[in-house]
Amino acid sequence: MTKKKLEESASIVVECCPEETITFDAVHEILKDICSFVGVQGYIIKDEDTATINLEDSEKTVPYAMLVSQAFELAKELSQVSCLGEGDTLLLDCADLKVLCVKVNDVTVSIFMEKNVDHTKILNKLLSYTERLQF
Amino acid sequence: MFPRGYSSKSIKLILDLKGKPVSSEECVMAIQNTLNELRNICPQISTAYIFKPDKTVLAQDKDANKSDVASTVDKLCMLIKHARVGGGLEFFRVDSLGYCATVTRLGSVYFAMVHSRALDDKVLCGITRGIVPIVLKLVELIQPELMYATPQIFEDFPSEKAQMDSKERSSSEVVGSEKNVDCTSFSESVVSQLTVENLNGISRLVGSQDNVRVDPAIINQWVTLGGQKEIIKVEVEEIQSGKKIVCNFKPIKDVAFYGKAVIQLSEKIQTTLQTKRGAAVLVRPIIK
Repeated sequence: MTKKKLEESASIVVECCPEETITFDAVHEILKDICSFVGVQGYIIKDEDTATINLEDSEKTVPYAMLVSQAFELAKELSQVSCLGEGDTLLLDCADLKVLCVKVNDVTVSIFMEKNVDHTKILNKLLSYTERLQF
Repeated sequence: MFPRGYSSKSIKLILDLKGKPVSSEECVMAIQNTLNELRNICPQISTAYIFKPDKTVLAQDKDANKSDVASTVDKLCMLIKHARVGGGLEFFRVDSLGYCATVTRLGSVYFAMVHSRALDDKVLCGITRGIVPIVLKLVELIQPELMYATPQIFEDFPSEKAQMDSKERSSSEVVGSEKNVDCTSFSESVVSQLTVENLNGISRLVGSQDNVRVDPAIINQWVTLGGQKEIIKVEVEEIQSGKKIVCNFKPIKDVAFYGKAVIQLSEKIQTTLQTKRGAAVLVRPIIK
């Protein structure tokens, strides 16, 4: 399967903050690299001030954003009622979609991929980058 | 033989099957006992419960806080609805430092568990893919309506419904001549969860492939709730994919299905909805 070039994909900056933190920018750069993986459909990256959505199919922006928002809300609920401590990694496995959500400092990253993609490779890649950047 | 540590109560219930009919309460108790025993065998498990996508908690372990489980299930069901965009939620996992929570779809229900990360992956897999599905399958054989929800009327999520409406409209599929039907749902909140059965025998040959047959007990409920208004069609929705069709309906003739919360669908409709025999669908009555 040929992967669409991400340059052609929809890239929407929901809200821009004039002073973007280094963390956000650094993670954003890593995600651009991860997006070149076959089967990765795009990502949503968000911190307190800024959110960037980069998805192959721009029509799915809203439902995907709502899905990850609900997933984080659920993780928060689970951590409160089960005294889990704040969840730092979330995996959503749907029939046709896989979503990996990771919290790096205050930045939340959601990576959307096809069902058959090995999410552990992406997670390891993301964590190795972030460790190198000494977050 | 049954493995060591297996609940004697669970085994007794299973062995009693030939002797007398097992009630739904006993089935729920068997599931609860299984969850309790799982916690005894694996102390790493702190909470375990099983719920349906309509927010019903089927069973939970004896130490689980009911209100906490209810509030979590509420949010989980919202997530399940949002996950339709990806074809339906199959598995969800939250990892934190010491603990993790997993939610696994097992047929028409979901199994949620909170456990420490010390729990071995093989044991986890054995529980979620072996023990619990087998128990649920047994219960399904004994009390199918328990697994697929007895005909219940429940309210859709109002805020979420408005959000999903546009998407559902675009993805809805209408069979045959039913396009652009000018009819309204007599109550957006009246929904029955029914189990799919094949439309076969004479019904399949005589009736149209675009018609469905509904349990007469459910039709009576709709008529009562609708104030004796005439129900002209039904809307059938596949739970996981959200696909819908609007079609004509008739009561099921086979008395064996009376009161069983069943809907008989032709092969054509099953293909359109991407569903099959034994799966759960949501059915809404539509009046003039």
